[in-house]
Amino acid sequence: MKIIGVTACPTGIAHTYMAAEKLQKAAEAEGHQVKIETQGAKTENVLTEQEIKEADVVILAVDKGIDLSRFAGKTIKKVSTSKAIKDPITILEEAIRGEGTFQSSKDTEENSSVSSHKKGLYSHFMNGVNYMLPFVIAGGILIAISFAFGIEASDPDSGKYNVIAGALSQIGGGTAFALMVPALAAGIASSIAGRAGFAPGLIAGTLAAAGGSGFLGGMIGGILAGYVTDFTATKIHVKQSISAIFQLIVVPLISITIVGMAMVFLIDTPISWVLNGLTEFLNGLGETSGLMFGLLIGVMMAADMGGPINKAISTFSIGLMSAGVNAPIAACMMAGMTPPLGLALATVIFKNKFTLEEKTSGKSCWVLGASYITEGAIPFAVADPIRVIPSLMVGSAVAASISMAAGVTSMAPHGGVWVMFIPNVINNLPMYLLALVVGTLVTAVMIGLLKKPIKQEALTNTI
Amino acid sequence: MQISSVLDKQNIVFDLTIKTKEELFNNLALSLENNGCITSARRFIKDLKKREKEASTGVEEGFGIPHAKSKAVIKPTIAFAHVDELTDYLALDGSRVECVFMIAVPDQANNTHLELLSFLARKLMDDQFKASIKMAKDAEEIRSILTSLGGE
Repeated sequence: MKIIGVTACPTGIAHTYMAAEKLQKAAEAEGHQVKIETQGAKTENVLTEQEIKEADVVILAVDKGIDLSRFAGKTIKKVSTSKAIKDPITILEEAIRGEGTFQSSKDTEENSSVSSHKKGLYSHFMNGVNYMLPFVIAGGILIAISFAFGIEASDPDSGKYNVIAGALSQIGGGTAFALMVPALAAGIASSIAGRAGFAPGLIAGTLAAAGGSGFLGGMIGGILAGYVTDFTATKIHVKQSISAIFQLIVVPLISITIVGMAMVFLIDTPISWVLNGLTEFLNGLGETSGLMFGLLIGVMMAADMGGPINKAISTFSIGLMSAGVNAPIAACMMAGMTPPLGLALATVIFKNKFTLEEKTSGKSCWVLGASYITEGAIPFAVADPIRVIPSLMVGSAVAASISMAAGVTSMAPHGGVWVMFIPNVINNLPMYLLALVVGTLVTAVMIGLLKKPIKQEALTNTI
Repeated sequence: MQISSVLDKQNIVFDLTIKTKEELFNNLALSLENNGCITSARRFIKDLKKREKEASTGVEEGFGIPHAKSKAVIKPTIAFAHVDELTDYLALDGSRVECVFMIAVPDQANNTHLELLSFLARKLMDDQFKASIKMAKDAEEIRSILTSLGGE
């Protein structure tokens, strides 16, 4: 028989290879043709598409999640590396007999019991956020544009009513923003339960939006909807003959009922208290406490430039927009703009501290920073994290705290300088611009002070 | 490159007074620290234990292969110890570990070294190899068995 396998362990130093050796020897002793791919510190002995296609048996001895998509349609025997080291012959025999094996379907991403639960919740949340973002970004910018016609231009009862402004406001505020929380909950639920989770999630999110528990309720509702649906769809066993009808009618009925009831009677009220409390607290922040919150926003936004920490605070601030708290998002946008802008400025002022490459990417940082794309700062941070990241954090913290302390609010969650000048988007444009300029200067100066001059040879080498 | 080149004589320990896993780790890590292979025994032990928590690194027939990738490691190194049968360190077959190859890998190691280490891990599956290591009486013998393996 033709036997292939993959071994992998968390450190990739010992067990990957010990398991591979044992499986290889056991299979060769039985006269099989065998090839084992070792996904250790580096991947060796890689299985080709042809080999996978021709294999009769696939054995995985893995202690961490690996990509299974390559083995679509194959019969797979999966064990731990220790099992493979201890008892390779039994595993081989069981794999050949088809005992304890499973079929890999086309779209199963590996969800080993070890890894999926650990990183699970976070990735579900991020999936929800990805569903939600288009609504927030497009909606927010459309609302901002509608304000350009005048703050009351979208109100049909106002004397200054403008049809286009009305339409934009209806699309952005009335529809896109209203769907923000439902999209978040549906995204989270689909990430957990697949397509079956979409409807219960959407309903949980809509109930959360209507019931006043907002994005917090949407997050809880989404998780609940996901797990309830997943449980109903996979853990309740019914006869094969009625399975199709069960999935079509009973699963959505049960999960939507349970989730809906839970939202209405259990979740909405307490969570709306929490959200109201939070909203009041944030809206009532004085200059001092606003300053502190601004510092926190700045530090988090600059800490990983678009990574999880940055997303945590910006997502939180976007969530607060649904509760009508618009100051944190203004501070976020500010703190996300100063890192690339500050770096761009630094490359101009401190020419001797950057390589030619960096000076070039400094130019694009002007545009990226102005557009609130913090990721522009990443190349600099990667090259010299210890000096660059703290500088960015200080600059962003200064900018965000000026913005918070001055009580600047933004109606747009994204867009950088391109939305700032639309009338009525930023309530206090002079202070906001001041925050931008000061933050950028502080970032640039910090970098200038901390960074060491580049050696001349290094300068020329990079050309 | 020779596998014996990453196992220094000074990092080979024969000590029957060592009776627990804790003592074993301390002893070998200190030896590695004194010989300039790692910067801090304490930090390296912490990383060893972290790996140990995921699953015991005991193998078979009294052999163990504790290992860690750690910031505290200066260069890829193997240490060896033959100690008393440890009651708190069991191999996969239930036997008590008495011989260990401890592997120290820096956070960023080059491939040549990693190949050497995986070569040793594979060798540990060979009964004859295990028997001869177990019978070895001193550091010289261990070195010469490994030297006879050559390298890859």
